[in-house]
Amino acid sequence: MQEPMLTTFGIHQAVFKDLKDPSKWGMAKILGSAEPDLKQELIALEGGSNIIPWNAAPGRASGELTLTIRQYDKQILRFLSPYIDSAEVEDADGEAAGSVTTLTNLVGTSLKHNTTGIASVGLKSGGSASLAPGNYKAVVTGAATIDLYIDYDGTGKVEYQNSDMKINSSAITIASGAGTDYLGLTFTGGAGTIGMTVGDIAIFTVYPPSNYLLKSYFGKAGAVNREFSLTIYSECNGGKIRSTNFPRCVASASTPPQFLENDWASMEVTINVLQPETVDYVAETLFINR
Amino acid sequence: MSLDDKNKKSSDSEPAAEKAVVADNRKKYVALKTIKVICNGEFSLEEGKEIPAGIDKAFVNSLINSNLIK
Repeated sequence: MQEPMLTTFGIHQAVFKDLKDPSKWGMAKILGSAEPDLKQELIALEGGSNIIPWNAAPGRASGELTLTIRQYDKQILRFLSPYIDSAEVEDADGEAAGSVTTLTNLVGTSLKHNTTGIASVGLKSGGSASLAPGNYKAVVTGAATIDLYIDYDGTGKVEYQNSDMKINSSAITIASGAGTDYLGLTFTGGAGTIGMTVGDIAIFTVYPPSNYLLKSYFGKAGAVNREFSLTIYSECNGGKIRSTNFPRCVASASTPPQFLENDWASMEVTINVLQPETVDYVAETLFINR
Repeated sequence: MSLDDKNKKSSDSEPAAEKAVVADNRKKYVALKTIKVICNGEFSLEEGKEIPAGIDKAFVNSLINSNLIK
């Protein structure tokens, strides 16, 4: 009787191991595909009137592998595009109360002003539930009044008043030495008489209460591609394990996620399989059990 | 020099501006336009009507300076 055939089915996980820093491993488990394309070009010897080549000799192998990743964690970001440590800024616990960045003048100098403008924007005590996250623009509308604009209304905490993305329906008044509360924020006026210049603009950013915060940068100065080994495991059935290991790879992907209408973002990663220096092959496939 | 001129030339490193307006507790202020304002709470101003009670004195100054009341 014929023995069971060698075969593979599906894809279980892909494992990335940094070749320079063995402490860094990462994996992808929600995968669409892992498709190696290592086939070698054949160069035909043709001549005369013969329609069939007289000979054929091996040319170059493409050495490419395409990985479609549908869900991932930050550990693999270092492998997928040029990376430097500062390409990630993670707060693993997030911010229990949220946060607000420093108010910064963008047009003019009167809005953020320690005496005659807004001295500071801070979190209102106990107001974190009202915070509307986003990037804010404050625009002076009167000597002591401002309008606020925000670039994100997905939380339902704010309602656009117009297509300019203004959110306040009432004039927000800034008073000398006093705090004006709005959307979980306190705008504290400077110590002098408030006298801002109409049209001046300042910006700040509000982060909501969160349990995780990661900033991932693409194209960060000094970032370089990392070399890694890649192991692909298929789905296993009855104790069978099928895997292919590529000992030396570099990858290129557009790590900022795609934003698709009614669809999950997936990431297509092009991986170049390279000739390793430590072993005399570029890929090793393992079949455990028939 | 107008207040606006002063502001255009001011910066955080400059000394505090002179107090241009000081609210008078004895005076009654009326709204110059109908508008809702956020001060130490949210208030509705109605043009020609006296301003609602409850607006802190510090905010009264600011409303005067912003030409919302007089």
